[in-house]
Amino acid sequence: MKFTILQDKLLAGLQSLIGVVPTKSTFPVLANVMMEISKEKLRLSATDLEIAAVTELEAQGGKEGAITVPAKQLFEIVKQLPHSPVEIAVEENKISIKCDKSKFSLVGIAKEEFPKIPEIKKEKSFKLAAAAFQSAVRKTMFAVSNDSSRPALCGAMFQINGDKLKVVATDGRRLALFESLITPVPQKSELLIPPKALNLVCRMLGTDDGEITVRFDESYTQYSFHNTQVFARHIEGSYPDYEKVIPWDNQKVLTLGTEPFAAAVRRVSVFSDTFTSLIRISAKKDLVELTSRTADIGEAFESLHAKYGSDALEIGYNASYLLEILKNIESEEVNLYLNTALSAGLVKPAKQKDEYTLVYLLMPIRLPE
Amino acid sequence: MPIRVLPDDIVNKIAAGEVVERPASAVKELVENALDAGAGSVEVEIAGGGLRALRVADDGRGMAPGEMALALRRHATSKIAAFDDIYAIASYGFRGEALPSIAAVSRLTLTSRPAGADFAWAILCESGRTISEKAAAAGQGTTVTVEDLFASVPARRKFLKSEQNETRRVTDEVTAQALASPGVAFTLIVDGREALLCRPGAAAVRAADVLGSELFGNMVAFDHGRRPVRAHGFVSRPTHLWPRRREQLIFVNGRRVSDRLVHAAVCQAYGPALQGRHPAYLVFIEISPAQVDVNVHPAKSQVRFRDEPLVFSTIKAGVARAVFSEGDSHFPPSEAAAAYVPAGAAPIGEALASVRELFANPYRPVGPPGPAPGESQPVVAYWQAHNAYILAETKTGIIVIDQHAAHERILYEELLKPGERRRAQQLLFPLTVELTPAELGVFVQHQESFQRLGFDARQFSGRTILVEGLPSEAGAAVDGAAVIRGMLSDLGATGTATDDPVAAIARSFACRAAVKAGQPLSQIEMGRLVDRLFATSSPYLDPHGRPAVIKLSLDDLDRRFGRS
Repeated sequence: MKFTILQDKLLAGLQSLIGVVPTKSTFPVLANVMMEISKEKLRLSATDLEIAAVTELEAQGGKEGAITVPAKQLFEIVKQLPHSPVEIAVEENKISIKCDKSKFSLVGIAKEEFPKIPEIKKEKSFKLAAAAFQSAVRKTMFAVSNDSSRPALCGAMFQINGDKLKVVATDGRRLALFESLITPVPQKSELLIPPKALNLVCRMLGTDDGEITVRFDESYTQYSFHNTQVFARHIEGSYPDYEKVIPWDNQKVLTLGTEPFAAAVRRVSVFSDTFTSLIRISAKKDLVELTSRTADIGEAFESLHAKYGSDALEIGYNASYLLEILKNIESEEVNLYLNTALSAGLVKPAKQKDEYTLVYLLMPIRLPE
Repeated sequence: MPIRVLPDDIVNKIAAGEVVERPASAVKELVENALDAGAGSVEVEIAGGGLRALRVADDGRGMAPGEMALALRRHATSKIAAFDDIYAIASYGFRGEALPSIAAVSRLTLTSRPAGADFAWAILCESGRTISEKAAAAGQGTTVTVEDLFASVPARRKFLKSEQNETRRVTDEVTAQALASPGVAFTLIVDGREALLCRPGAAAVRAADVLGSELFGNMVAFDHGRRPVRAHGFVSRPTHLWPRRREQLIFVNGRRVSDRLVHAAVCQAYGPALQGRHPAYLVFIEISPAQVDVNVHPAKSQVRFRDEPLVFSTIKAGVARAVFSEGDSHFPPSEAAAAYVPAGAAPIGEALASVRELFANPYRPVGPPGPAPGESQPVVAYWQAHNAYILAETKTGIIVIDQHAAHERILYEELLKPGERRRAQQLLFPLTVELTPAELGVFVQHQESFQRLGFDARQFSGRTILVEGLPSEAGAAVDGAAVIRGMLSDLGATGTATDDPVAAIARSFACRAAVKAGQPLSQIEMGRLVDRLFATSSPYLDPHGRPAVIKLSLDDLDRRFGRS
């Protein structure tokens, strides 16, 4: 088997897959990328057994064939080559790479050793804009748990119902909910996706302004865009009934400028405890006071103008949780919907975007009596 | 030379080499036959590394004389009837190759007595040819005695290792079989001495018997997944990994195999906690026969899984969960740790920057600005080594701080401060924890102390407690239920001791909530940790009395470098 491909095409293909290749694995073939050549196509695949990615590139090929070669070395070589056609030939367990006057040979592993790339059976699918997909991931992933004793919370929940997509992430202390419209899917579905796959797809999409197609079955989801597909195995487990715990009717509404609020939280958090980041937020009539204190170190106090008309309320939050939420709010003002010092609060942008809506939930810290 | 069909005995000798390459493989085949015959007890005896003699005796179903003669013929088996059956194999053997292959290269006596027969029947074979058949005295079951293995195949004999080496391989093999079948009694006798004696029992009992307490005592059990793939077994705690490879055994449907995929899944479950060391593990995979191809190699030592990602994720998730949800784990879950930037990079960059600054201004004094009153007052720059130790310069040398021990000390003292009820991070999904009656007793007794520490926990119904808030020191990666259970068991254990229960709770919680080794810390976090450590009453010891800080004085360093 032998084929010719332009250097920049090959490089782009490898670049998009290299994130999947595990840096360290005791299963050697995973460090390799699978190359399959047919007449006019080169198909590259990589997997770490949890995620798999496949991309197809135009190439001038001859006979069909396949081999796996070390991904990192191939990538490093191709990166350094000039912008010329690259000729790759397979000889037994090796490939030779020729480009201009450079020539390399790289030892591979037989294609049979490479794990099978999953197939989506009895698929269902929907489409949405690449940019919306990226927002769904970037604005929720921080809330995914990393407590491996509760595996379901270590994934992001994709709930598909008709033409609505909800993406939910929670670690039991905060929750992120993203909602957007998609092309309709006939049946209700729930998919628990590992965040690693979602982050990878986001990175691979780059600044793409096209669409992404999401196909799924019982065990896998496949993300297709350009000529690339990413497969992720669903996390098994039952996701908690999050709808029940969202306090949609919290009455005490506190409105603040997003940026000034975030800046104040950042400053006050300097004197919060290193490992709990506790700050106190005290809402009074049209005023918010933020305080923190660490024994033997110091204390901080800030007051901010705010819109607030309900009874005074003092509530404790983890400053870093709060900041992570505020960072993802793009509207100029942010609304906090509160109830008591011990119950969940909602954080929403004062003005939602046209493309999607965002809701965050944050659990307070009970303050010392 | 003209082409001709080989006579049977030569075919058998060639085939024997594939199935039986050494005494251990003969033992393996014979023990598998014994297990397939429903044995409740298997006895293996070897002499001279198994080459002089080996004997495998079972108390299984036994065979009638007619079956015995057939069993010595190639591809005679009771285990499959049609080709498709090999894709749904539930027994160990199936090719019908083992017994005739061994018989072809040794002097073999097959003695068997089926249930209900009045006496046993014995067949003696030499190099595959039946020499004599006669009635014999024996209990129910089958005994195979093999003498002078490979005596007729000098070429094979040449490739064997020393007697000790062959003995070790037989021992390994019997050990593996014993682990795979905990319900069957196993005895191994080597040169007349008992080398292994396992009574039938549960898997954990068998594992403890075989691996010994040093190894098994520091392993945790895991069990994950259901049909079509379930993985269970025992793995090393992340605190007890080994510098060299130890026992790493994989069983697929009770059959010992070597498999890199399974090995990789176990290792990856530890994440960065592995740090180049090796876990010991016993992994049992129960998989529906249609999901696995065991017919890859005649010795069946390799398998090929149909759905590799499923097997991989089942094992990885199961091991990770068992290893990291244990309350006393000193490492964070691998995902959490992997998400961080490797430690060291930033501090080294900063150190370089400060070196440059130093040369730019030759009159700037070296060391911290202002007076450093005591050696317990560390200076500004900290370096985190292996995400576990903080190194800092002091006036008279350097100190190394164990980050976990230091944080334990800080939390412990804070908890013991009299007065206020502590802050508690409220939970969106309250945890329900079901306790044993003993644990519940301890909980009820100390409920107030728990409340004071920030556990918003109350008895819910029966033996279940509801936890609505956790101390805010416990990070999001902490398994709250495991922490509570661990504390209750610590408290239960100190019940008879003279120790103060509140101190015991505080110590137990401090240990579980403190930052773990393996967690990267920022400069600010390290600074605060060190400041707060030296504000405690005894910064040099953690609450268990182990050192939290090690000092290396300049004198020490000078002496070691031969400068004094």
